[in-house]
Amino acid sequence: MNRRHFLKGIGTTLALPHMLSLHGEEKKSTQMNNMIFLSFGWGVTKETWFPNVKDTGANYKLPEGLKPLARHKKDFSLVLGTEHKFNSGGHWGSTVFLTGANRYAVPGKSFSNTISVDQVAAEKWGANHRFSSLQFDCDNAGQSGHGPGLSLSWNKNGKPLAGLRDPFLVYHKLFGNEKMSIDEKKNLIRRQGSSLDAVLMDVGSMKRKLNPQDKDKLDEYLESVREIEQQLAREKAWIGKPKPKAPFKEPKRGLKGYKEIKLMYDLMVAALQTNTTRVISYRQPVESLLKSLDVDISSHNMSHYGKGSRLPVSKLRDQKQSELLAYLLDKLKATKNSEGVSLFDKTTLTYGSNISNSHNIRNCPVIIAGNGQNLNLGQHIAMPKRTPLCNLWLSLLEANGLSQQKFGDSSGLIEQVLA
Amino acid sequence: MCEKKFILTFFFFLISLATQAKEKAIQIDEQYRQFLTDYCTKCHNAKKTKGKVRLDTKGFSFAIKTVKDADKWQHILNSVNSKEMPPEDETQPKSQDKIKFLEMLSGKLVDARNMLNDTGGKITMRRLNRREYKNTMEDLLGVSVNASTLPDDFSSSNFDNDGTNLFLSADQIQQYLMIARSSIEDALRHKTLDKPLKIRYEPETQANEGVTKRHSEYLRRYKGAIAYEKSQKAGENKQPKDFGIIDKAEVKFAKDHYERFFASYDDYLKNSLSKTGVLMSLRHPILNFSFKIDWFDQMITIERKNGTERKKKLRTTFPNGVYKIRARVALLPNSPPERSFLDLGFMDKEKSFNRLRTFQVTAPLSNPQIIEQTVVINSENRLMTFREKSTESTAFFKYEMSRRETGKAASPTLWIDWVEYEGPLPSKKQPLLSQTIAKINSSVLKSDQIKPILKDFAQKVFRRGKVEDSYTDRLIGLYEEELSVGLKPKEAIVEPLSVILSSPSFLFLAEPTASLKKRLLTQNELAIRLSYFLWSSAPDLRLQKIAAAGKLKGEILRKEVDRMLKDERVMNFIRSYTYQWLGIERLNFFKFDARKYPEFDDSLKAATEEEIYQTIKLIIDQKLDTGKLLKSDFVVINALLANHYGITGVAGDEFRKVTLPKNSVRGGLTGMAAILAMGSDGNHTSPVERGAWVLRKILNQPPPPAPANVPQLSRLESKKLSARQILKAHQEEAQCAHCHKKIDPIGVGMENFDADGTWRTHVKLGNKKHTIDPSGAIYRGPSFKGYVELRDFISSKTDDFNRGLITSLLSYSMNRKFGFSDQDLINGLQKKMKRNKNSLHWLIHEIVQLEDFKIKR
Repeated sequence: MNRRHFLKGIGTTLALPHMLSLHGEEKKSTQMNNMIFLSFGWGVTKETWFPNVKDTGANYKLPEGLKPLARHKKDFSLVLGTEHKFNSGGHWGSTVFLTGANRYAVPGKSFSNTISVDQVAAEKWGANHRFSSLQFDCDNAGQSGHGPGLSLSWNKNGKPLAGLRDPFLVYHKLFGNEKMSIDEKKNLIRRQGSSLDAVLMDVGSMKRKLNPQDKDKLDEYLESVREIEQQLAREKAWIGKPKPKAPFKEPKRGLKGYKEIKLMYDLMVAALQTNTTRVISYRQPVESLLKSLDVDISSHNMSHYGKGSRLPVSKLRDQKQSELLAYLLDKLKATKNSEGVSLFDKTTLTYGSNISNSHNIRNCPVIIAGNGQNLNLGQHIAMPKRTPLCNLWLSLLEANGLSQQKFGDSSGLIEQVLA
Repeated sequence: MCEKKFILTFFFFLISLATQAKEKAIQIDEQYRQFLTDYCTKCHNAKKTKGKVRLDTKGFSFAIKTVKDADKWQHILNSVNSKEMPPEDETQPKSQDKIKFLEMLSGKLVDARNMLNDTGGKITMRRLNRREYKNTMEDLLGVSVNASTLPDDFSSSNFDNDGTNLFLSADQIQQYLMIARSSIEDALRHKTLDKPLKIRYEPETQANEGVTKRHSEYLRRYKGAIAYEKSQKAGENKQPKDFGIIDKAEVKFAKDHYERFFASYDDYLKNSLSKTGVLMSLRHPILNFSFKIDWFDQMITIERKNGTERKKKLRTTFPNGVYKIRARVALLPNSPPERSFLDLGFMDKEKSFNRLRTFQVTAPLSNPQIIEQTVVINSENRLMTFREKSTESTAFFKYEMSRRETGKAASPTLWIDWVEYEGPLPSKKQPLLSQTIAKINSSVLKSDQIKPILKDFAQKVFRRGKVEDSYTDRLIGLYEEELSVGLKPKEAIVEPLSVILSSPSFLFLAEPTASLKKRLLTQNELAIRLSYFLWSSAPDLRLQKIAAAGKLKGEILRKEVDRMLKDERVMNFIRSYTYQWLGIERLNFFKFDARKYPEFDDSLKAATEEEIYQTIKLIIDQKLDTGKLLKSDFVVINALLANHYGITGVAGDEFRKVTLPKNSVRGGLTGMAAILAMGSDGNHTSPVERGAWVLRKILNQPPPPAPANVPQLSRLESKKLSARQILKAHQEEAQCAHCHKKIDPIGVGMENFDADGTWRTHVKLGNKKHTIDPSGAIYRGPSFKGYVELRDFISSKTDDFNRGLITSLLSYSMNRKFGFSDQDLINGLQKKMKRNKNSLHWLIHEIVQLEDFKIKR
């Protein structure tokens, strides 16, 4: 039974306890599902990226900025008109993009955040994979319009998760086998474990002397050590199981911009293909993308494009970003997972930004693709003004068998998104 | 008269009582209810509650007390700013009313956020931030520590040492362990030699070999290309290969390269100076002159057993350590002043140039000068490189310019006779790590022998007295585990030491308190706070000793602060504080257009930044009035900057105080190239950035954050507008006008400064040249004819400037945001500072003497 229809049928007042029978086992259509979240900082060229707001449904005219995606038109949907009502940072394309948090929510603090939607999935799905999730990132994310943060992802306590910025290093993290025997590896893990034990002794003796507020700060340290311990336990479990064979050769070092994004996409597909993880987020570079296209204005200035000489640059950016996305979709379609199913069918891909253009953070440009069994693709879905973007995140969780009653400031599902 | 006074006082007394009794709130004046009634409540009322928003009731609170209240008002502000409300087909407010409303509300919301963020004086325990960690580690280990793999310290609204904003992640803790391991291993490889090695290198043979090779290659390929083309014209059936050229495409390149480069190589080889040294060029033939500090071979004589001798090559490797790099250099006659600068740096793995220093070369060929730089050599910076001051883009552009004019590179101006490196040099400092390592012999130490060594290291690193036995026992366990897998004692100690350097007692600046009650800091804690304030690193031995003796107070504390301000480590404070206080980050946000500003390369940019720091240093050292930062009859510059500003008579690389001629536009922050460059986008000036900066940093009237969702003035975007026209356009829309009326006039007054900070009288818009009109009027203030009068106005605002400075320096020094609940403290300091000649030196002392600085809340 489709849980959503179930909920619809009897009204949503029936809360989770009744759902237990459905819990625990994943539905077939969401088994082995993956999620990818991409964000691109400074938004898009409003005039040429967004379709006419009235031209909705399946037969909408593909706007100029999305032309490179024409061959995939049936396989993605534009979900437009949404926003995060609490965000007020015109330069924050990614900070709360996947969280919808109110930075001022905690009195006495000038910044706080909440869990990002990708991490909801990672917590549920991560246990049996080498990495519960992977975060990719770019250099100087602030210059690319992403805003504060270390990646697109925030953990359950609203703390930033670190991102991997160098595709060369990502390659080695995923596929590089340490030249180490099983015993050596065991030894290394044991040593790291002992080191953490020693560190924890210090946490203990320090904690006794602190006031509650400072204890909280120390708990951040403690939590982090616990996280490493879990990672070590995981590594231990994986000892003797060699890392998967890389589907392609070791890449060149130091690729930047266009080629860097492309390589990161390759690595994403490779990571999903080899079942290394099921959840990936990526803050794409915009600044270095422009540099790699021989553009010499900053990406921030480009985002204030107006009608002058910056407009062609902004359009070029859309063009190239769409081209790259089309490449990623090609790749996902052409690659099969370990069960022989196309990755595209098993992956919910989200591509967007909290920033629409310049300092506008309403009507976020967002594309969803993949997971066709559960998502309604090929559509231009124009939501009424002020629809919380978190409604989309809630719907994507729903489409992946991760139903929640609420996510962030969500007010309900976006039914049109669900198949 | 008397009676009236009495009543007034009484009235005030009542008010102050009332505000104390009430909870904290930001009050919006009731008069603005009329604005809501006129334009909002028609739809947002009890009956017709559009968007579930109701603004009509008396109950709709005009006092912001909670995050929820603030969010409600934020919502209203956003809707009006984005022109969404009132809807187009409804009555629109008069422009003046709307301006007034927006100005009021955006200001109130800034206040409200400050109130709601207020920490109530609490300082959250914090970890070391990235730069403090690096400095502290370097002091302890005596090597340069690469902390770039740590994530950026995230500061959304305050300094990078505010504990509430400093997070930790699992990845970061792993990085701490890794950095500690590799830095300790690096330190173990470091050597000092009683007799340092020294190599002098005459570069011409190798250089000429390279230049000659390319010279003949360009010629050969060109001849081949011409011959091939001739053969094609003659209808011969021949391939490029027959002429030594790979393929057809290459034919074009061969000709192109010859035309663009050959003459420059030819010229170089013909120059007699290339026979005795290296000539630097802008791009071709030699932009980068590199030499690697790796090893050298010597022939030594070995005596055989039978008494005969044989020669043997002995290779000596240069170990990591402190080196002196020297070069003998000269400036060629008739060189333009901007071409007398030589950069020294190193090439990294990615083959990019990392500048260490820029030298001015003044000596003639008849009597060259020797330049010298001390460098800590590790495995990553061994490829030392000289180049004429430039970045790739400016060198490229300058080469092309010269080639278009003369067909080849501009004549060289700098000549290098030889280079020399010497090291590793003995170091006076004995860092803690070397002391510790020295105690570990090559023989295996028993656990009771290693224990005091580890304990001593941990105690010193943790900046506190006691370390618990259970902790050291664990470390010994680690040490023994390492030995058991076959490591040598000096290798086995690396892991326990790395653990110490990744433990929370090292990473956190803890001031333990059992309860939330405030208490006096211990002497040791005070020393630590002071040291991280003025040095961004741990206290040195002397400061520790004074604290341990309980003498860090009163006059001795004062003397210590003086000593610390004179120490070179004070630059850590000046650089990091000023960088954040004045928002210098922006200087590196964009690349300058090399075609428009060919001289404004990385070296010059770095010098403009250094000017700010050196000026602050001088203001502190000489106990000058902070008003000198707004207007002064001097600048603190070196030769490179003097050349940029067109000030003559300044030679040499060190920064010094230079008295300005009368009526100079320099003198004061707003005339400094770095500040002006920050107020641009690397291509054009940005009067808005400049005006907002002056309001924010100097006049202490920060405009509210740029609101999201304000519609662009898109009808103007295609047009090239002067600053003045932009200013006018900003007045058209209320949501722009309410801030820009304050920002823009100031920016326009600074229009005579180009994006690189040079003075100009005209500006090009499209193809037309316009005379700049810098006149204007401060919002609700005096009018000015141009920059000089604007600066006079700015410099009359020392009180406002100092208030901003005091607030930000308090925040930096005590690692928390100051503001909302600290008004009394700030007022008091401001009055006192005025009586003390507005001295920054005084202010630093005064902050250290404050009760707040000495207590933990």
